[in-house]
Amino acid sequence: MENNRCKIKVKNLSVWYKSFQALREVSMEIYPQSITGLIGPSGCGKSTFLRCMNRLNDLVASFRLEGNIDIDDYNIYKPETDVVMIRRKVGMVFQQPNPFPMSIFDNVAFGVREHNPRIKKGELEDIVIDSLKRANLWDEVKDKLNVSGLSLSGGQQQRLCIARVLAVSPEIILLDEPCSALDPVSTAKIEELLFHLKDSYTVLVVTHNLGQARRISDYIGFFLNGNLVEYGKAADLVVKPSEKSTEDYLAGNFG
Amino acid sequence: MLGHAACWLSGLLTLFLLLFIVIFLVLKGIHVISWDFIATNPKPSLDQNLTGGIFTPVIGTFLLVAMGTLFALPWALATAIYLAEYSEGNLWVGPIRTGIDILSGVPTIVFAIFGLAIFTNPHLSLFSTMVEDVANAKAFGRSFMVSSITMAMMVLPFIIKSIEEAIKAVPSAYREAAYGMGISKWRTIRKIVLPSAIPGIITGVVLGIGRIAGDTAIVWLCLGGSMTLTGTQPWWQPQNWLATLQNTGSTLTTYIFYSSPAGEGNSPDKAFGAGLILIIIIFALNSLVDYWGRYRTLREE
Amino acid sequence: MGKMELENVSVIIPEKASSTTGFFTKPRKPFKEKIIEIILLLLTVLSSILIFFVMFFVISKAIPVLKASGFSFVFSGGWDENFLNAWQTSGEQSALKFGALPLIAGTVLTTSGALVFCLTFGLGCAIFLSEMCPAWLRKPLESTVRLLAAIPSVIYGLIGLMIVVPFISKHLISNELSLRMIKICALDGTSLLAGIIVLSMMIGPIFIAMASDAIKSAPKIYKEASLALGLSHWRTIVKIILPAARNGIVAGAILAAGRAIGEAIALSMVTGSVANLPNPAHGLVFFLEPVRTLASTIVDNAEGMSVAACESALFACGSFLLLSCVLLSLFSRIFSGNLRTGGVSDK
Repeated sequence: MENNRCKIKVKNLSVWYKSFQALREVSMEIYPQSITGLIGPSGCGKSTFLRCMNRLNDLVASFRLEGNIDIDDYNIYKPETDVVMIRRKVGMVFQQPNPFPMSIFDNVAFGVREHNPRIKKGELEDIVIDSLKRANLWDEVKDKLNVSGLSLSGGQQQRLCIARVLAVSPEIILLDEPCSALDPVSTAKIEELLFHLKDSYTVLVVTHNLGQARRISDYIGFFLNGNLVEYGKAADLVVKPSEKSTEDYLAGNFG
Repeated sequence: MLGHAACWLSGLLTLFLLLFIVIFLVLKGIHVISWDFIATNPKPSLDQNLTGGIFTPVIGTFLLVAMGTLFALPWALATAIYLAEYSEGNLWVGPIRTGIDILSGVPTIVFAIFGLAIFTNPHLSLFSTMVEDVANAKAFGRSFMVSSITMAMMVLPFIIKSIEEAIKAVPSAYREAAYGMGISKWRTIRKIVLPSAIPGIITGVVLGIGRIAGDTAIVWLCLGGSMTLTGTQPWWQPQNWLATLQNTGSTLTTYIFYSSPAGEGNSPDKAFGAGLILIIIIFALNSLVDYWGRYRTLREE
Repeated sequence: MGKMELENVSVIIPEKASSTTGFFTKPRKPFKEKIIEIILLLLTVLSSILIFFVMFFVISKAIPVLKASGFSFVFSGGWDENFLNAWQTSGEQSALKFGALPLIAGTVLTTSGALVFCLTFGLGCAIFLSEMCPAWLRKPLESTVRLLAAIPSVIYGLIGLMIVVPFISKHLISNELSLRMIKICALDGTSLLAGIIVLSMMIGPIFIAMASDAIKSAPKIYKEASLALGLSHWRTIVKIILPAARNGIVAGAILAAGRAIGEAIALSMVTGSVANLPNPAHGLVFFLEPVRTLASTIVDNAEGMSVAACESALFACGSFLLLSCVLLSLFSRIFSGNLRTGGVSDK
């Protein structure tokens, strides 16, 4: 679709939980420095798809997968792969804001310390401050870095979670309905933030909110019953979807 | 209507039972308690006024609690972490849980004779002392070390259970967030899960402490019937600490048993004094657990 | 925030490393995590097979006496004489014969007596606590039950010895009765009855706690449906709530029975320390006769441990205790398992 080399290449991805097939032969190429929105009714497999990208589905005992996911031409489901290293490169933000029960500073510093235990104090502080700034949170929390992360409002907590991910310098950021638990004002702040982030990262967003998908995405993938029905540039897909089901979904006939 | 009345009666009876026990112990025990009572050693005497105080039993209770917890906590923590975090997919986990479950139903008197059976083995004499002048070599098998190891086995299943519950109560969102950042499983447990579970872990430990402090059977058999510390004297000097741990002594519970008309100490008033102090300790531990529980629910809200 | 600055701070993962596939398989202390997991597994297995160690040692020490006595260990009496005999003639084969019938009877009698109290007063209290208790009384009563369960057994023993036993000897045993019985056993208040009362105080709170939990977790919809049909609260409790909570109540009773069987110190203080077999032919005096349980025998005869035959006899008592408690644990597991799969409180 574009000259840009693709960042993630998904080929014939099928996923089962026990005997239930959650994804059917999904193939998709995801491009760097862009936001890819994943839409579809609940239960369509978009969250499952997202969680395959950092192998978080491995935690589910009944999970089974076929097909390939290549990140930078490396198949992350190769047996010798260290999942921990994948997750360092592929950050994730969850539906419910989930800061750790520690101070704001420690929330952001935690991952950095874990990955680099010998980091110097000044260096660590720089990273934390920089991450909070990039997450548009710095101005709101700079006077209370030692306060528990749980004391923030929902929207602030979610931005703290984004800062926490940015601090460990991932290249890909996965967001699983990051705004569904937030009010409109916080949602707008996060959308603005995502817009800035796409300059430096590959961003995948699962969203329930069509307007949001339209506003922020460069590419949109539409999932239905485990199939990737349609995938393309956001502008094209929204204006003239080629599939009937996409059209129906966009028109609000089901959801 | 009759049923209602019977239920009310039983409920009130339970309340009065506790009130009665507490008031009775206070009335009988309060006049014995003084600084002298707490700070002097028990002495054998036919005259109740000369039987001394409960200094060494108090030391014994604290020693046993501290050492029993020291042995039980790391062990229980490891087991609880495994059961809560790693056991998924392990087919043996059912039988393993059953084993631990059964262990929690074993009477303490059985643990007591088990401890004796193990530690009278002459090869394990470093935990106690050797018995002299016996044809076939035998260790004495009674000491602070023996009884605290036995205590640790006794409280193990209870501590495991409450720590496991605490770990399972940690929201899985914390784990997911940490895994999602590329933190390994063990580091996630160390840095995120265990710190969040600390109130529950403390509850488990305090419950264990209560059980150790309140047990008599293991102390009576595995610590011996001597009221004072029998290691090299004076016991408080560091060079004698090891000898103290290898030798016998008493705790508040065995002091009560010994001083009551059922034992040989013949100082029932002092048994009530010691009983009052023991029950104050136990109730204080329980309120601590209560406080932690309430604190936790408050914080979650 | 300029792009240059960003690259300066993002030092943790070098830009270039990402394009090399080796990044994902880079050795990252791969063994440490595995070793930790193995250590945890080993300690877990150790906690679990501890019960087998206990069983093995206790039973293997009991075998000499059990072998020599055979079934007469269960069906004949004379424990105290056997014990004295073994103590005096240390080491002889003939001294290995023991009869523990009175001890087993004492254990069964005290435990079942206490269970009767539990299932009447205890169940009443549990119903009161979970269904009738006014709100202001609930917290205090719950704390009461918990504190009663936490009181050490030696204190129950002390109270039994100083209150229950004197009461029995003063009000229930007359002089002529004790004279009449002097040939058989001394009646001084330490008795089966005292044992049952003290034991009920001890295991009651444990039972109440479990039973009231079970009653509280009985599905509310049944209760509401029954009340809506016009049944009285009491009929609803008897017909709907108690049957729904049955498994939990039974599990609580089993747990309480296990505690009662194993209680040593308190019973050794109040039941008289005589291996006497109470005779039902004596009528109600039956309850005033001294008894001794398996567990308290181990405490009372602990000095005998230095003689091999006596030691083995005490371990024989211990193995009977152990086996019955293991069986009870397994039983209660069945009932609490049903509770869980029955879908009462959690999905």
